[in-house]
Amino acid sequence: MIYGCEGLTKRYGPLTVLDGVSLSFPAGACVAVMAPSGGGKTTLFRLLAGLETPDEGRILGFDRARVSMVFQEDRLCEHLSPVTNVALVQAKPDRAAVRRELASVLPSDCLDRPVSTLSGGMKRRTAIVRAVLAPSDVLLLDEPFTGLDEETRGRVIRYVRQRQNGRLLLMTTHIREEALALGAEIIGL
Amino acid sequence: MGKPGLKKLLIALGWLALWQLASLWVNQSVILAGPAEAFRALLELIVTAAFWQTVLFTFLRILGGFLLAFAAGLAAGGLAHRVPLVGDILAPAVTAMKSVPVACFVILALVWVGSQNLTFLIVFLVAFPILYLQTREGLERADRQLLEMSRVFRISPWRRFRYVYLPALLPSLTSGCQLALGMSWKSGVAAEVIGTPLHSIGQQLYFAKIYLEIDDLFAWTFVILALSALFERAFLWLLGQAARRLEGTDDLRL
Repeated sequence: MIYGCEGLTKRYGPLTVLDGVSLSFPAGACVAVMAPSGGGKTTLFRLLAGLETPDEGRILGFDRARVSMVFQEDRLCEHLSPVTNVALVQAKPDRAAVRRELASVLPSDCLDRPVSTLSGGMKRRTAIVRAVLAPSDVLLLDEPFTGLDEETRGRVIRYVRQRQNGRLLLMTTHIREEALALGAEIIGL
Repeated sequence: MGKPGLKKLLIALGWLALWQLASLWVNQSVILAGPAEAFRALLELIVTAAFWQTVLFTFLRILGGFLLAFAAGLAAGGLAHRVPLVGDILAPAVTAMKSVPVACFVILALVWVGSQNLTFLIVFLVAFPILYLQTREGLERADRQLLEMSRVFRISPWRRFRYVYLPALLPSLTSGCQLALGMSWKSGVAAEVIGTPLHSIGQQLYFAKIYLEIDDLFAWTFVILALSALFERAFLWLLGQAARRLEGTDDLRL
């Protein structure tokens, strides 16, 4: 299975954010997309996730795939616990399994607290676990490790790498070391 | 009794004293009956079977009209949120319901449904636009980012409603219910005063006016206030319980 895009162009008014971008990714690949701020990384991911429509060009494979995503913002239900937030995206949630997974990156005493009471880093880790555990063929991670301290970042990167499970993993980042730690192929935009 | 409770009691007693002084000063119970006379009239009323029959008559019609408006407001508001054309089609009717004086509707309703079902229809016409508009506003406030997230993860419509729409809808719907419940009692009883259906509170108010029984008027007014407050508290409590149950974080049936 090949995923990708051909001649992808996206404009917001007079501003052209993506101009004829063509990319191709084999299933199971791990790729980091690097570009400066405002370079169109988030727009590319929004197009691949089906949240935006391209002005020109076409998307290949993503429209038929199950996609899970870490957004730039955490996008968690603030009144729900991390366990429920993760279970929410699963068709038949196994809360015990969700709890075990979350406990590998979060302190166990905060698994049942409302997300609104957690720190920014804890929310980020919850959003990452949610994306990783969601049934999916493609993982889109948009600057996933922002806001994590160095030690936690290393632990979470290992967690994501171990659970890629043959899925296509695409990540945006400004930090080359993150991409290398994840074992990702780096491409520019 | 705590400090806030004592303060409220003292304020209420102050107003009652002022009312009593005013009635003593006027010294004509057909113009201004005092609280003691009103209380005596109330005691005389509540021991009769006719009183409870009257209360039940009005209460059931206001309850029925409000519940129908609640269900229709939620359904129409939800549908208009999904299909904007529905909102466009309903807009003139909703504007008319909001703007046309209750008295005009009462006269029409008397012709269409007769006086016995008047209260039900008037309460519906008054409460529906409030609940419809508050439902739409609440749904519009749903977090766009969470809606995008639920779209990407293909979260089922039911879960989307429970965890994304409901937290946004609830504050708006609660304030809409508070307003609509108060308006239901005001407009329902006003309609009864005009249409005078048999065995209704409005008819009793009309009689109090005709026979200048001002103590009865105050007694019935107190009954309306008490019923309105009790109904509002009970309904909002039930609404809160239902919402908490739906949003419950420990529910495995996500």
